[in-house]
Amino acid sequence: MNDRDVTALLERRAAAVPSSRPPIDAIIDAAPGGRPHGHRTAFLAAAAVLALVIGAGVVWDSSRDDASPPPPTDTTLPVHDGYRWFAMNGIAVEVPASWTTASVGSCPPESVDAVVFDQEANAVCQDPRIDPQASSVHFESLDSRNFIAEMARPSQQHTISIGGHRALATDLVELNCPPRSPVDCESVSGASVEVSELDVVIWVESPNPSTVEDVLASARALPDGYVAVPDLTGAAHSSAGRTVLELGLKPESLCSDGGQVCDLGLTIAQTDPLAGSVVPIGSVVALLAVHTTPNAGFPPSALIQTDGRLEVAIAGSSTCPLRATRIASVGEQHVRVRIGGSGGSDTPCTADVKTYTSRIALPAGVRHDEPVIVELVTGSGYLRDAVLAYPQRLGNEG
Amino acid sequence: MRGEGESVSETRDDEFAQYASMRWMALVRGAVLLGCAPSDAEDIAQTALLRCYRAWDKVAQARDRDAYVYTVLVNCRRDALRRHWTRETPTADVSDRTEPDRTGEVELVDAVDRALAQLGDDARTALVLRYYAHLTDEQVADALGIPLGTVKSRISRALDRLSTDPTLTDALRGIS
Repeated sequence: MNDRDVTALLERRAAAVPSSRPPIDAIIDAAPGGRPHGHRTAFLAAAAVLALVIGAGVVWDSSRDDASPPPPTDTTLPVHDGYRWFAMNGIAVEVPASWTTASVGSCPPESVDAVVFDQEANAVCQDPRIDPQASSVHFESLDSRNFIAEMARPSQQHTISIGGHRALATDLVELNCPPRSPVDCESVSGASVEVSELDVVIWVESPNPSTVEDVLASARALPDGYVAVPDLTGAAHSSAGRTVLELGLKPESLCSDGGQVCDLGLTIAQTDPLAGSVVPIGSVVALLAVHTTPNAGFPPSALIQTDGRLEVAIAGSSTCPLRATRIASVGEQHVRVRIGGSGGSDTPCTADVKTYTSRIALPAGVRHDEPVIVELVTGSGYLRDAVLAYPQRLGNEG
Repeated sequence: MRGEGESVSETRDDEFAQYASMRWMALVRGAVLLGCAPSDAEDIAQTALLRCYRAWDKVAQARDRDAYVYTVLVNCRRDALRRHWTRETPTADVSDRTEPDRTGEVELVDAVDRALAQLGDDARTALVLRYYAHLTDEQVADALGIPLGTVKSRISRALDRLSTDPTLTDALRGIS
């Protein structure tokens, strides 16, 4: 029996104790020098609101079955301009909307602010990611190392409550560079919260300490009516649709659109909204599928040039190359490119393969300094492939 | 960001109210794990918070507020034992509503309660402070007024005992 087992047993036993309201009024009444009742009512109300903001459910358990009035429930998730919520296992944090995401199996690009899920699933990634040029928030399961907690002194760790869940919070610590780190990370700060009963650790690192504090200060339990978009990277198209449905979301892809055709062997490359994004139940989740079967031929690639134009490289017959013919925005950082052959009717399309690169301007509203999902569809509207185009400055030509 | 400009006394009470709201159930549940009956646990937690409110300036300045408050909780529990706590035990109203099947939960509660009861009060307190209140060994030592080595040996013996408890092992398998 390890430490975590003991904690789990004690917390499960403790959870069986029925919830009750904190008798704050009675405590202050009983204390000498307590304030007049009217004032107390006001500050108790403020305290209740604050407690709800910090962690709905910590004071009152909504499942309590007694004569007391039902607890107030916080069912909203306020979104501030320029921010969006990400969550894992029911714990959400608010992150600047400009931060990109890296899902399971992919490493965050260097020098780019990022939201990272289960980074340890990919041993190729730098562990831990300490980037003096960028900030990142990491969602990990408890199986992963919480290296920030390891670095912290005992006095820097304390228990807090997030949505009624006991959490171990680590104050800001100065991070040490991992062995053979190519960068100087003296000035990088990090902090974490660990909610063992929900199997989630969230840690943030940034050269700006206030960024770390702001992100973690927003940590809260996901209110009813919201879910996090699952990470479906690599999942079969059919099972991904079922997963999305089971969460109360609506899957949408060209494959599920009447009249469209999808090949077998498609797997999910990306979702829109991105994995981990918090959305209201009932929201549409677009599934971007790609060919991953060994005989899928030469996969296309895309890149956003520094001038803001999109380059799409597609393999095809050397005498009838496939070119991008039209582009349209179909969602946030999500475009659909129509491709077609350029050979004349009297010109045979030879069976050799040559990659042809098309350059096309991104539609208005699509930011060229952030990754863009690029669907490639045939002239008849059939999905041929989908790729993620990174800005060239990121150094990732994925 | 927190607002500024509140009067000192309001800030003090606000701080206490906020803290007490957030920690109330953890303290009640901690008291149960320390060996209180659930009905007594609320009284112990309330008494502990009252003592903390009276000395809130000191609590607020404590290096680790939770460690301080749990220390008070443990002392309140001991005081109650010394006084042979004999308060009335209210009888709950009879419920005629359908309850969900909590057989598994009851078994786990029973298994954990029995296992904790076998540890003895000293080891049980150290274990609960370490693994439920998440205090460090040093903080547990401060809270109980005993040497660090004694804390470690008590916890080590407690863990050994829990590890060999077959009922607890079954309960653990049920939740993992």
